Amino acid sequence: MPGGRFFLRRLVYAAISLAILALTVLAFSKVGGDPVTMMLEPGASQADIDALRQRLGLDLPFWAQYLKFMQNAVTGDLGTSIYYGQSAVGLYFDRLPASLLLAGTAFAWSVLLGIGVGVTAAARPGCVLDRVGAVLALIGMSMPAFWFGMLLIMFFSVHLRWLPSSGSGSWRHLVMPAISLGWYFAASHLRLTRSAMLESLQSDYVRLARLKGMPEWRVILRHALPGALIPVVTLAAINFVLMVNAAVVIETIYAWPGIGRLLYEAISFRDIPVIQAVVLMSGSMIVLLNLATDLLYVAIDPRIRHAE
Amino acid sequence: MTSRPLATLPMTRRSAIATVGSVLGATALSGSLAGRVLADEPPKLSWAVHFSPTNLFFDPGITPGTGAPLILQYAMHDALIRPVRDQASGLSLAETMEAAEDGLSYTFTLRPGLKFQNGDPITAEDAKFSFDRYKGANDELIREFVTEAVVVDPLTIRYVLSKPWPDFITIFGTPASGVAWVLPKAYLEEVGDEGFKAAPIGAGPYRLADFAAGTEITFEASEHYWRKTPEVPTLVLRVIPDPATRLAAIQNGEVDFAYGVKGDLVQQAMAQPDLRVKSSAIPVTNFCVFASMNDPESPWSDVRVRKAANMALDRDGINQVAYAGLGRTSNSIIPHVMDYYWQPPQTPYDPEGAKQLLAEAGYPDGFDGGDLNTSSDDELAELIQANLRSVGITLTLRPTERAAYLQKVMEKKLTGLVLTGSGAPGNAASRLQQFVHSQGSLSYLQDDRLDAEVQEQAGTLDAATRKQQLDTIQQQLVEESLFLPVVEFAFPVIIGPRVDYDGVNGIPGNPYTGPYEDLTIKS
Repeated sequence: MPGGRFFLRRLVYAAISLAILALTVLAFSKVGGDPVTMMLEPGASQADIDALRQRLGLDLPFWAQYLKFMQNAVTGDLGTSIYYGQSAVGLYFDRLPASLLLAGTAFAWSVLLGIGVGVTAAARPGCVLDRVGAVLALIGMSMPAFWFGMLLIMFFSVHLRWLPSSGSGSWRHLVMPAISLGWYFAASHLRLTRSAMLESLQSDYVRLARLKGMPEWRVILRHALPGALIPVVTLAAINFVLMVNAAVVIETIYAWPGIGRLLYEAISFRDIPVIQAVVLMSGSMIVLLNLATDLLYVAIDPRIRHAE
Repeated sequence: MTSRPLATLPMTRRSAIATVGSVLGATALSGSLAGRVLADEPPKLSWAVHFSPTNLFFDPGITPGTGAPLILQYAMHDALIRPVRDQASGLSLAETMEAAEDGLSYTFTLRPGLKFQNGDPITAEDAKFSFDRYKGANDELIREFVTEAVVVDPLTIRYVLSKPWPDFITIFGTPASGVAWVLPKAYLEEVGDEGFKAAPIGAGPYRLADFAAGTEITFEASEHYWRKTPEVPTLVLRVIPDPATRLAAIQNGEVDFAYGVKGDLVQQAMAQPDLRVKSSAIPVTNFCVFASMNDPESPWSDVRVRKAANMALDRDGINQVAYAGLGRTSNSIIPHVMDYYWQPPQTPYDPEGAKQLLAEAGYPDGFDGGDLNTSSDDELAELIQANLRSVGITLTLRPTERAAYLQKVMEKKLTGLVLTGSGAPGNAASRLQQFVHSQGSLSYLQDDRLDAEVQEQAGTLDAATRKQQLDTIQQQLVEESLFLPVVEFAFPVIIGPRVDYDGVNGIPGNPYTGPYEDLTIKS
């Protein structure tokens, strides 16, 4: 069964990718220094250092640590946080709801704004909205998230005192982090939608639709937009995974209790099991997404199926 | 149903203003409602904390010997003897302490009627259990001297030593270890170590109400605390990693204290009339180690060069820029709050004198001093580099990410200068052991004479004699310019307008506010 073989091969590739990812993370963590030095005060006795290292299993050779990690990973155990003494996967899933809420909100507005303005700008190139959109896209792509985030805090929290500067628990806490996180992605969605729509609007089937006398809005929304959305949706899906797992700067600035902040803390404390858990979980999401996309391509395009 | 093309949807200026206005109005309304709800809540104090306290800190039996766990431990736990309000080491759960004349035992008697937060009585059995299970900082050192803990009666415990130990109180009764903290034996045996980390019970003024790892920790006042029931019913520690956000949180009235705000941000807080800024006196001195001084080819091996470097430092200026003047300029590697500290004479800021000394040493045009190794989160290094450059000593800044930097420092393979410091609890003797004795974990010195002197004082029981010995060692460090002391670390605490008694420096050596049970809110 060709489809089954294809699926199996992709699955093996995914497993190899994740194993290499885990090895890379472990290797880089080792290069960066010893987690024990971050947990003890400079000047701690060698006996204290050795005792802690032994308790954390850091006295084992590199390969022994890696193999032990992979053996446990197969059973879903990604180790215990060095810093928190809790299951690394447990910590990840504790933070996941907050990250999903933030990423979902940021994703929703960035997609709505990006696609909305992108379509309008492409439909009427050179109009006011197109020019405003170009400026917004430029600012969104080039303004550092930490700076934009701090500007919002200064204005809405410190100056106007309308919104809490940080934390979570109500929709008011969500407003600034969601805007800051979605800003960059809105800009990228806008740019891609506009260019894809411009190309789509030049296509023969759109010309034919116009020749048939269809209203312009119907030509844009029913004929040009679906074709233009394919690359936008692909990009948006990857962006969503990034928003969930890698909003390190935004979650740190706003003290948002999500996965990005967990990753930041883990890196700060050299908490290798947590770093590995976060990277592997986000890597798994991307691998699964790519796998799903590959399978979808096979289903859609028979040329790929036959080539396989 | 008819639809209009997206591009032609009308968005007049009036409707745009109305939309924005309604969103902002709703936001403002909800803000005022939230404020009203807050006013009805029981009084609480909130902190913007600069790091994530871990639940491993709940158990003083595995304390790493850093200051960080104290942020939780002074709320949840209590000890026989520990730093208490205005005393570096004072009796707390113990009512009396008696040291045997031969120095071979210390006997503590507990106050009557003490209770843990779950209502269980505190007895000498709990103190013995806590001693026996202790595995934290300085465990090996403690076991070398203290052979056993003996329960004399339900309220009396005796610690038996194998030989006299001058530093017993320094290690036993301060955060240098967690061995004097008393944990509930019956509860720990019931729930185990893991269960204790999940739901700790202690003898302190506050019990843990909620712990969200890396996010927020909530404490509730315990009615069983022996000193008094705390004034403020609820304490909330909010972890806010970014210093600018911590400042914004206190400016916005979301928290009552903000820790670890540095540099320009402190100046902003100082400029705001309703905020107060204080600095915790914690035992950390920033200083440079002359890592190449043992190499006879290196200019740093010449005492005149090291003296010149000391004279080239504008310590007051550095303190102003780095710590908004909240630090304390220093000429010693020992923090001034530590026992056995010797006050050295001031080294004058004298760049011309420094140039003259360099010329005498054969470097009239200055020299390349090699690397200035530093942790990448340390802002002092650039100031030191600029000061030394002004007299002709050029240094190459080598900032390294903190974990890697600490590892390199301990491996003792660095050259040039190493900007370092330590927050480890202890006294002048323990600092000299770390930084001066050639076997010290952070020492770059190799001096047999100093080694012998450090060893000798460690065995001296008479406090006055020992003080004299330690003074002599510290004097030599200054006379031979064996280090480049800069400034004692400032840990600014920003205090909000609601706070009455703030507890900054309330407990000596504690960087955080305390005692927690004494904190009050303005009426």
